[in-house]
Amino acid sequence: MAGIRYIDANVTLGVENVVFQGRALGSRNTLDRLAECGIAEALVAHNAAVEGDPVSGNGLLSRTLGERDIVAAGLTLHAAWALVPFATGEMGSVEELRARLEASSVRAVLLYPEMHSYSGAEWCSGEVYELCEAMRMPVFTRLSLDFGYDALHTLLTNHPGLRLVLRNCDYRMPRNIYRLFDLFENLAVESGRYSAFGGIEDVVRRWGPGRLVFGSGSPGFSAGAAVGMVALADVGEEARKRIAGGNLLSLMEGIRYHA
Amino acid sequence: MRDQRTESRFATSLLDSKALPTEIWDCHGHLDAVRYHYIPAGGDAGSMVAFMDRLGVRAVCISHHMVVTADLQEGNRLACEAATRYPGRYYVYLGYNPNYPAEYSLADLERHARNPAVVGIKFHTSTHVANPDDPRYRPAFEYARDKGLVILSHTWGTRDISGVAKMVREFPTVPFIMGHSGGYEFAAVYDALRVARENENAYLDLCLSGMFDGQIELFVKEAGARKVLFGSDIPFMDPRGNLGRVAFARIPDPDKERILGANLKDLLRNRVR
Repeated sequence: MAGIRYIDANVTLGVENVVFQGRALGSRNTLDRLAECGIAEALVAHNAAVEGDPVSGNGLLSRTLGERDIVAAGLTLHAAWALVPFATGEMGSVEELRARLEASSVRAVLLYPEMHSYSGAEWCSGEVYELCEAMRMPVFTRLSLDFGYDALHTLLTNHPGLRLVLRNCDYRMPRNIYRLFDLFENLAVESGRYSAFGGIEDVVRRWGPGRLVFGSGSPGFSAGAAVGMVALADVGEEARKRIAGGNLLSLMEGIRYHA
Repeated sequence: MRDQRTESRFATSLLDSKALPTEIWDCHGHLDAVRYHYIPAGGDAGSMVAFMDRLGVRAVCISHHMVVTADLQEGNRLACEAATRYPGRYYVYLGYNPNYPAEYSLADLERHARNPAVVGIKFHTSTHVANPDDPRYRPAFEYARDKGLVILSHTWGTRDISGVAKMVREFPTVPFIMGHSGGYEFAAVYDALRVARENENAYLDLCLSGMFDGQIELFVKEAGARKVLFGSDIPFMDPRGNLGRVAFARIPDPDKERILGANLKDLLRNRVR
């Protein structure tokens, strides 16, 4: 086997609300599937934190990661937490959250304004962005009806140090994302569903391999598909290694829990 | 960590960043640019052939983007021209737009009928705003039946699939490929599966940007590997994700070979080299 170390930036433990018929369910099955696809390490969130309540869902992730069956799967797993803005008090204070992020060795933050009913604009989510920027905590988010390219542009303008990775990317993105790549060095996209024809090669050619982070969207989306996109990309082995796992490792290793 | 990788030679090839160990035939492709988005690798015939050579794709069955978006006649002309320039690499679905008078669309089918690369007719139910059982498609079904052509239709949602269910029964000798197999709506996908299982002439293609895990396994289990065709939407989308999805699917390697090429070759038997 060639020395490509795939580290998946987008894996969900637990079981989603709506699942494809016949698919094997459960966290251990998800991890076994990753292993079948040559993925030995992953950044994981719990579905309960995304489709349910972020606070209890993040707690469930911590418990799940310690379960014997999950440990026995043999993958190296890193925790990702879903957050909501501070105004309601659900996250506690900024310092309380910082402490909990460190205590749980959280290596990435997920922000889903459309799922959790808040605005991703500065007036609502600014404190979350500031905290993540100060901690150099990677943030994963996705576009939605309420958080589009204009909102993304404003966010990146206001927070040039925020390390942001866009999820749920697809073939329609280049006309917007290319301009954003020109303007902001701190933006990357997940590779798994970035299915513009020749898209990976073109991003590498124009901006280098640092703008692509391997992520599959497992278990709902095929990890094998995500591997296929990178494995067969015509980008050279060094670029392939960075996309497959090096970029995510750099993001996670750069975290400073205390700025 | 215990190595749990499947013993599939397809999976092993990918993990070694190598092309898949079989000749690939793609049932669902297009050609040239499209209005919706930029195509980084270029969608022209020459660029696509270079890409196909690198990945072991022997041939793609195409309809030009223009036949589904802008200009039926120009699109059909350009697709046939590409197939003539690259013999054996492109086969053509001629577009049929039910919004035009039948004689207009049929005339264009006749115009290219003697091109040996023509293997079928393409419907696009979304851009042409017509379900497969729209009466205005009937002349195309009759033409396909009379000429031994395949129909590939964009199928998106349960309404499209129910239209397919009706027409494949009415035209049992016309092979009908359900492009996208119903799309993102799971109920439509399950309906498409049922149609493929119940009708000898109905087929499923894997062409989709949201590549659900478990879909290929379900298709093979319920309809049989023989009914599943690799389709990519190239150059509208990149094929390598779906190649990976097949390579790592939990099905035997012989089924992967059938899906990636043998099924389409069988389907087109008298028309391809």
